[in-house]
Amino acid sequence: MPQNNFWQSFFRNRMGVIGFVMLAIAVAVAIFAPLIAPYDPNTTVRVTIDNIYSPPSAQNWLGTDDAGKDVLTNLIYGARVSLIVGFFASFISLVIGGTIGLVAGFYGGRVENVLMRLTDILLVIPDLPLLIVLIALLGRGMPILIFVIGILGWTGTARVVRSQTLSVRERKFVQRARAIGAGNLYIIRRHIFPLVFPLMLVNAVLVISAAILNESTLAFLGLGDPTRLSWGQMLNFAFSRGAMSAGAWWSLVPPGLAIIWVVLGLTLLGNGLERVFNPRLEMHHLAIGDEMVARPPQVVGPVAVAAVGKTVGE
Amino acid sequence: MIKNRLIKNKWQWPIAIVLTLMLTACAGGATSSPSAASASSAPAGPAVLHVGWPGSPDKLNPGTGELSEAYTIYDLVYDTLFHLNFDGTFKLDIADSYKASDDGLVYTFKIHQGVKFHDGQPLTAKDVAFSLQLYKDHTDFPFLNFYTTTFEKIEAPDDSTVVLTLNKAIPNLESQLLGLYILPEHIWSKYKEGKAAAEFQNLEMIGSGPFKMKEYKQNEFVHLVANKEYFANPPKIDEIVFQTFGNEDALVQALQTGQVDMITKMPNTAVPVLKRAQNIKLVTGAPLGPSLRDIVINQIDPKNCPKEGGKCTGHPALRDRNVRLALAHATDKQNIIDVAMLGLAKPGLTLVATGQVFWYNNTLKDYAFDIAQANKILDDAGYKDTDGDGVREMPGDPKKPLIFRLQWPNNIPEAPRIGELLGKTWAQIGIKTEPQSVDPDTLVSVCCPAYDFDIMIWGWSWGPDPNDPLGVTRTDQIPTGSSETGYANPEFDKLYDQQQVERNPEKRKQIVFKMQELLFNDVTYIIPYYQDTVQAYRADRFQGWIIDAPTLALEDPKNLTIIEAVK
Repeated sequence: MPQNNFWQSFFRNRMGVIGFVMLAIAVAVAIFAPLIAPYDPNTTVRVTIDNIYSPPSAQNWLGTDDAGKDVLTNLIYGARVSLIVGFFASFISLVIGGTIGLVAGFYGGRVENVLMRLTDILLVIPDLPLLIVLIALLGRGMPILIFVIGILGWTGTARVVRSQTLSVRERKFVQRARAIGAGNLYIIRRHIFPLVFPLMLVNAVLVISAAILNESTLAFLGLGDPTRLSWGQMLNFAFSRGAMSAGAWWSLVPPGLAIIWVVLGLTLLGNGLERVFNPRLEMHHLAIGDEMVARPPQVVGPVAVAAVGKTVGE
Repeated sequence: MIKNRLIKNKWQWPIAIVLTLMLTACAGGATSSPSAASASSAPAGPAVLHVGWPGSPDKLNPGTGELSEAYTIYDLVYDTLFHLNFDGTFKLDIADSYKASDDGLVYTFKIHQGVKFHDGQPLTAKDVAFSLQLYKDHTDFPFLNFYTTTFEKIEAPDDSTVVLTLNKAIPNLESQLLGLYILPEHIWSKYKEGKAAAEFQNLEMIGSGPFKMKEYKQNEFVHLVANKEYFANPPKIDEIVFQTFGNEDALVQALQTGQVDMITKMPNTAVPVLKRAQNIKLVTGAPLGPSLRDIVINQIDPKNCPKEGGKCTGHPALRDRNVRLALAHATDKQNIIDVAMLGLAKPGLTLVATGQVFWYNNTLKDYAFDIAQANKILDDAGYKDTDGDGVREMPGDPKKPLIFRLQWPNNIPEAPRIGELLGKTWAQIGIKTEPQSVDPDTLVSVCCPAYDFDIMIWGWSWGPDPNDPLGVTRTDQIPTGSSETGYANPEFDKLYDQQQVERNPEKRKQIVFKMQELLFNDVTYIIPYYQDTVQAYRADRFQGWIIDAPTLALEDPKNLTIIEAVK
């Protein structure tokens, strides 16, 4: 798919653009945190029983938390942890899921059976208990958190990549390449991966949002990295240190909204990209039907039929 | 004594009945109310006190209970030989008088006559002797039999006399007897052999105390009714319902909305709100059972490393008193108290807390918070930052920087704040921390006798006697896992044995003071604070609470028997 074509169809998708902007704002806030934040998050604040959870004011736009710290500052710096965990964990997921999906889809047979059953098993185990158990075994800290979220988040990617690989490997040009003696690795590298990659990318965007939600969940349960303030951690402090009885909504609502902001942004962006890379989503299936009739059948088999729509850009 | 969250069977020391157990901080649970729990205080009907608390008794069998909530219920349903007063003194409970022989080995108790168990059977000296014997015989009771280690013989020559013979004279029999509840022989005799006693669920819970058990649903509620025939002072209220809440915030809400009349525990962060609230009285004070937060420093000498399960991976610098002293000087206790406890705590010295009024060594002067002084100590001791990365290294070993693991259990809500503050001030003296929050079981497994840690933030709760806090730092407690620090000092051990048999309180006090001085000078622990109890009640529902005594416990029988409904 040519570059300008991609941007054209992406910008036609308004929700996708909104998602992109939302994410861009969050990333900018995380990167420029020291410039934006009104206070240094590491300053020692002298507190007394009467100045914790102070309501929003001119000095503290979003009030203060249980330790007398500025909520806005925490919120801005918290973006860093959430995004770092999200991006790195989804990268791990992408590598694992992409590899498993490619290998399973391309080689098929017993390899596929083993890999996909493994995927199914991981898919049916509820995430949260497994995450908690792994964290308990491996200890705390951001690298471990990233690792644990990453190695549990690849199942969806694996399935999507596998199904795409299945369709691509049956295409004419792949068969031609094979006919002239191309090896498996060469075919995967040169012909399959480039066609599967856009879909992996789309999937990764959605995996990031899942990873951020997982990080927030774990941090809220007190299983996050205690040294790094994330949004989930802010919620955890607010919850365990009596924000609700203090009526301090300002220490609960902002981190919650921030999580929603980023996750919503990523979801919109992911959906937008998906529509660009997978135009079938925009068309009625009957419309595709017409197109299919108009074209000479390219390949035979039930798998290939599903892939016909993709051949538009070829 | 309870290492405040979890009790292991192997503690060698008698637990004290603890009223402020941190374990409950993580004990989430279903919140529900019993059928009888109606929130409105109808003036005509029975006076029902609704108590909200964050935990629930784990067992109704007094031999096997582990949580402080269980002991609160035992105290209300059962009698004992002694009670602990709010000022730290003891008063006779079920006995009218007692006499000790001159050598301190034989105690004769005269049991009050005419006392009846809740099922109408009379309570006699036989029941008392039976109960003490039961606790002594059952080593499968995790804690109570530790109180009976000095009991040689227990006899009841007649219905009103109990003769207790000890194998050595001890100065603290009263505190040993605090948790030995008097059980009815006619019920428990069926279960006295073998495992039956520990397995007996005791759901009917027949006792002789001021309240009777009506209904109990674990993690939901405990419903007690007043024993109006109670021999001493029958309760003025008619019923008590203890309701379990999943988190402490919900407790505060319930008190504000009037769903409960009193809460035994609450987050300190809710103090400003309740101070302003109408009809709610917020009370703070020293806990009846002293409770403290400690910074545990692994200082075990490798040659003392336990053969069984000992890993001893502590940082070698922590074995040097200079480093520990520098850490103490670089610990801003007042700021920790302000941030973590919102001022509701007192700076601490050693494991013996202010709550142990008589035994607390108030002549010691705490190490001042002084970063310059701490830096000087480390400089003089040869810990230099040779590579200029802001972290000092071991003298003569530039590859071994002063980086300490700092761990805490995740059921102490304020621990992450403490860890954060310690990391900050310690960084100013060139010491780096690697903070980690772990679940309590993990902490137990790295703690002791594994000694697989550098520094931990944890806590203790004790009974009134100094035996408990002083016992944990003895050398022979290293292999048992009671000693967390690995502290070994023969002089301390000798003094411990002396105070254990010194029956003259003044002389014993001198020894106990000297022991605290040793612990303090060696910087065995850094004690950031002794906690205050923070509780609250509805002033418009019940009145007459004892809130100005030296210690505070609204859920204690002394309070629950004298309060009455506001007309």
